[in-house]
Amino acid sequence: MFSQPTTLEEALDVRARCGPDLLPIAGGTDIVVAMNRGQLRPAGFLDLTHVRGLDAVRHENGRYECGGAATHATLSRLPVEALAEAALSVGGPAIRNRGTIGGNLVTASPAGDGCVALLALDADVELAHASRGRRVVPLREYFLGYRKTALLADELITRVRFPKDWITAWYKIGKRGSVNISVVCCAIGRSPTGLFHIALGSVAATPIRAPHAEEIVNRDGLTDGAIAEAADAVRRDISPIDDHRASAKYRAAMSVTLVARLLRRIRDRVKEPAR
Amino acid sequence: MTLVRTLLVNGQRHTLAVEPFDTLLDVLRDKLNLTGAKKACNVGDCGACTVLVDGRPVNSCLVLAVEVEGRPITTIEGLGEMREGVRELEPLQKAFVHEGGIQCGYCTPGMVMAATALLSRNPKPTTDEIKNALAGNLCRCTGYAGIVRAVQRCENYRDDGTCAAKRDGAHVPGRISRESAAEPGRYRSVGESLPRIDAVDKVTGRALYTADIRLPGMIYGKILGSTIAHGTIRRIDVSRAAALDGVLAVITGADVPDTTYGVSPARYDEHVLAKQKVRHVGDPVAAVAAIDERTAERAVALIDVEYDELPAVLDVFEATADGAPLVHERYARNIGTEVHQHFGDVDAAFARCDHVREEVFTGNHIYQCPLEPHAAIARWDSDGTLVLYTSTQAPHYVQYMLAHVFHIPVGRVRVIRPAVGGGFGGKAATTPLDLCAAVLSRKTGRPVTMRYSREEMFHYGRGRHKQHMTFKLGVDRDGRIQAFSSEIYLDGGAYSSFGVATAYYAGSMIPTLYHIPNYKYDGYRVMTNKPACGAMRGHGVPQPRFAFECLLNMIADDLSIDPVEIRRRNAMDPNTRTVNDMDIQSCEFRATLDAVEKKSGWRSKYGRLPPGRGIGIGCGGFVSGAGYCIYRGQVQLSHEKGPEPFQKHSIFPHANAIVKISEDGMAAVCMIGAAEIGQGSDTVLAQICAESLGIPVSRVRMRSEDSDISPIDLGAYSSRVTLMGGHAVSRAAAAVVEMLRPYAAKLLGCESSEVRARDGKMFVEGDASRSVDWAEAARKYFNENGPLVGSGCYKPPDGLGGDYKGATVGTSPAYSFGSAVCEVSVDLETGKVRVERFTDYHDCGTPINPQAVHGQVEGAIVMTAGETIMEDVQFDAKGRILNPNLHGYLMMSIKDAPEIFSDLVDSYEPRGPFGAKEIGEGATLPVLGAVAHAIANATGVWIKDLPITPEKILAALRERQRTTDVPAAAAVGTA
Ligand SMILES: Cc1cc2nc3c(=O)[nH]c(=O)nc-3n(C[C@H](O)[C@H](O)[C@H](O)COP(=O)(O)OP(=O)(O)OC[C@H]3O[C@@H](n4cnc5c(N)ncnc54)[C@H](O)[C@@H]3O)c2cc1C
Ligand code: FES
Ligand code: FES
Repeated sequence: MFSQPTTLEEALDVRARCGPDLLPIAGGTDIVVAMNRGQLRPAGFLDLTHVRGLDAVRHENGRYECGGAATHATLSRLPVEALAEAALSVGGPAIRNRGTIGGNLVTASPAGDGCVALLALDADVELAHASRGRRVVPLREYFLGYRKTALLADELITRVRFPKDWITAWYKIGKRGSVNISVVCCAIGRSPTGLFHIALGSVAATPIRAPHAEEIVNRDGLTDGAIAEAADAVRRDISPIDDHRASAKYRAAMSVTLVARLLRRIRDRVKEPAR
Repeated sequence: MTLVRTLLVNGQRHTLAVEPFDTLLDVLRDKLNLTGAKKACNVGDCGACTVLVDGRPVNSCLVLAVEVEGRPITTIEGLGEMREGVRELEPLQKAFVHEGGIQCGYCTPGMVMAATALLSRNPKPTTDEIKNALAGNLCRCTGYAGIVRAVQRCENYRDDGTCAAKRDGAHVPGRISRESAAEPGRYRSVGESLPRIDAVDKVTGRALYTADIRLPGMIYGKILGSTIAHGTIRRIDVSRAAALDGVLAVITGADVPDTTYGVSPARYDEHVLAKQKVRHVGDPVAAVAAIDERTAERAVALIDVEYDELPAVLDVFEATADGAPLVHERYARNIGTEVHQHFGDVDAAFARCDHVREEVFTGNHIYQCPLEPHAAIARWDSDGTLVLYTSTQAPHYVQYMLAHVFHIPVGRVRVIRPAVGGGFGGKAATTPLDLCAAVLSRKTGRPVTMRYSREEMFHYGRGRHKQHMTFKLGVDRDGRIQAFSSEIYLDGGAYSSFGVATAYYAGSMIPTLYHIPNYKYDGYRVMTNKPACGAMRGHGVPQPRFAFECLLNMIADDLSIDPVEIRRRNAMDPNTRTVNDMDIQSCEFRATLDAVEKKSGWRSKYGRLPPGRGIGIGCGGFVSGAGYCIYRGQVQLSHEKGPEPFQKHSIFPHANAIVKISEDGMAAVCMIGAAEIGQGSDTVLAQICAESLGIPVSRVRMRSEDSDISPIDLGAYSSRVTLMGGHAVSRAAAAVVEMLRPYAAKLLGCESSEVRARDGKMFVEGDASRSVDWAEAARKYFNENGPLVGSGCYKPPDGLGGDYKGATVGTSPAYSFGSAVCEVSVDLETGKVRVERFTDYHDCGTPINPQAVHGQVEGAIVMTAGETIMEDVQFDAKGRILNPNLHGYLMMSIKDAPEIFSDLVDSYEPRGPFGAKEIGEGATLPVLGAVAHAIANATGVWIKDLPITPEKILAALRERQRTTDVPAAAAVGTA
């Protein structure tokens, strides 16, 4: 079976009727990989690439609102540093032309770069159902476990919202210059009120926030001591594993290094005189 | 569910039936026969399938055809303006052709499409913009340098100014050889950086690789590999597979010949399909043939196999321990090959040394990863001839092995080698695809094609042996080498393959670079339950060379001698017989040292760089062709050989060529079974042919792909084709000229001995104004004698090398030499290494095609730098590969590739055609040591096991911090 709706209403309708029988497909950069590897043989597809407007990005009231099918290529052009850089670090240009933020959030890989950047922006996701309507879930409550999320089998991700003017920073440690899955990645967002949102990828079963580290800088600000202490505290937020990319030990050490590095980077930005 | 959809491809509408899960790539290739886009991974990792949708690049292997209905799709076949039914090349395509952007060509269509998209929005991109745009496209051959050049200089190829643009736009550093310097302009084709003769086909998607070929009635085969690393098959049930609709044959070990096969005749230890025992994950167990690939895949999954699992050995030390399970009963302690060589007296020499240092080094499991996966098509002709199309770099050995397995004469096997997308040693042996396709074809009476997926390639293996090396080097006070001893355990995997030669090479190439008066080597090739290792670029030598270069640099530091200087003091000299009887003629090693030192600014950098930045040197050299063939005697299967006296070596010529002139004299067809695999051998041989005939290269056509047409050349391995094939071709061409002389002399009114040929003319020596057309002389010959055909062959000189056990390996007519300086930066907090720059000088003799030489160097540097810091096939405790794909197994992307300066030193090899030696493999050897040294120089810690990952660097830095407060080793700068 194959459905190729052109409007969101139609898409939601098909989704509500067919549920898991029709697998939504956007860029296909996760699904088709699984299919070509013989790990997945869906009964049919719900193609989201022809749904008008689902790939658009708008901004209003100091927030960006991007459609569930916005591509990494589109996000990489936004002036939100952590998200743009995260998007730019996904695959190569051809992957970014197809891969979407919705797909990234549904796959919910612990290494999902888009997920990590959006966590640091304290983003909200909108999950929609044809008749039950739309619910908005804060991203920090969206990841439920290893590749498990709050999305139900009859819903679609229609929108993601995140702030426009935060100071953010991003760093991904991978093993290659491109087409580079993270060994550890870290994003930090500082809200205008001075609150820090520290997110990490590839160090737990899901992309995570680092509350212990956040607490220290939220309390003490960006002194050298607080940065060091926060960086060290991140060890309590993570639960990395050994795999063929890196050891848990290296991942832990790099989490500390990255948190310190990005906090210092943010401190330098905050100090910059307003222009 | 089949849907009818309309696709808009290259401006044409195609309405066709597709399944929802058909990828765009499959539809383009299989339904529209547009085979330019390649399937090199099928999971988005490589970019070889890149096409444009709405003008933007996408990986067509990840796009469902139904998703892009109605959207404009452009493939490589759609580039260029149509003029009179022919598409003209776009400037970008011309630039790829002329700037060395193409080698094997398998990445080319994807690269060109990605670059086309970039240039359409940004006609003058910066280098960084180019690299970003091509970041998702892997190339294994070029090191990306020629590709970046092509995009940068694309501008020069507009307005049809190809030739002019080439002259001012494309300076390729090349040198005039000593011989030609004495007489400038002596050569016309040889020594010129001519574009590859297959470049236009490759840049337009017209070149046909094995997987692009469809024969009428062709069906698809697939192999089932073992799921366990070691065990015996208790039961195989193929009934469910055989019952599947569309399945035409299922075979198991019971259906294949009992004959074992392999590479070295003494170690034929592989079965076409497992007879009973499986020895590694992926070991072929059964195979099916079906009407299409998807059905074959499904059928394979329906074969039920029960195993009795045996304990597996995955490590050389485990495998050689007392009581370890045996991978093969016949190899005690799992040692398949043992080498013990001792020249001079190392113990006595060590006792006299002023300084002796011993270190342990460990290599990594490296896989060639040619971009084109192995593929084969087999067919049995009605006269009983087996015809095999295969992606191979040694067609004759495949021919020989098929004859051996199927018990038919070698002459009843015809091997066709279509375009090959890279080999690097991974395509040097006969594969299970070749053999199973032949069995399945015989069974079904249809042509059978089989291809490896990227994952299957890793399970087939034949990559570089991981070596465990204990090296001991002794020098006098001045750093002059007195003695060297090495003990190496090579992790061979489950079968011998090329491993006997590997074990010998690991020792034999060490004494060719430096004078080593006393030398000892003990090597053990150990069987383990992993895919077999084989011959990879630099065969057996890169890891020992890495270890040796590191140890020499450590000793230089110990004695406070500059690393370049210590090399100069020990450097090999021309006309030397080494301690292990390698006969070296030309050798400009010192010149390469002087040149890299100067060009890299070594003296102002070494020891003067800030922490985190480093510079290092490495050197190396290699054979120009193996002096001996893999089998003995004449071209005849061993079981057919009569009661002749035992032949220790092969006695037939290793390279053979026929040059046939067309009846009108206007074209020369050069036939030689030399395998063009991307390295450029067809081009180099065409240049040699043209030069020797005295006609322009444009009149020469190469026929190297079909064993029915081209006589034997042993293949593209041991860096042998330029030297050996070159001689055969030049001799065949010279024979033609010899036949023409009397006819030209008659037309010119001079003596035959006075006739010379050049530029399509035959003229009187010393008076070029008295000339006739070359073609006219050829016509006159034909009128009287019929076909004008010359043949030539090459045998390595008699009596080459020593007479001890194993002396044949490493023995070669000529040796190359080179030096490389590497500069790196290291993030001392994360351990991340960036290889910034390489400066490389080589002595490859006189280059036949300088651009091709630099292409080999650039490719070798990037491949081997990646090997040093990133590449490693990793196994779990059950012997399963953890990273059998191109995102887990990391070859360098364009963003990782360093800036490269490559140049050559003047050199002339008396034993080479036109003075030429080799470059393809030798260029890898300096790289590992140079990178390792630069990292040690940047960080103060030596990492002695490969790959040198950030994690290892960081651990070593922390360990040093913990154990000492002393800042850094002597090598690290203080500035
Ligand atoms: C070579 C390569 C490199 C990659 N590199 C990276 C990387 O560096 N970092 C990274 O994070 N990822 C990477 N990825 C993974 C992938 O590109 C991303 O996860 C991408 O964002 C997935 O988006 P998609 O649109 O292609 O998803 P699809 O494959 O189309 O779908 C993925 C999942 O999401 C569901 N889905 C998609 N959209 C919706 C929606 N709107 N509502 C509900 N369900 C939906 C699908 O049903 C499916 O389950 C890489 C992939 C490849 C092939
Ligand atoms: S074949 Fe599509 S990216 Fe490799
Ligand atoms: S030319 Fe790029 S892979 Fe061979």
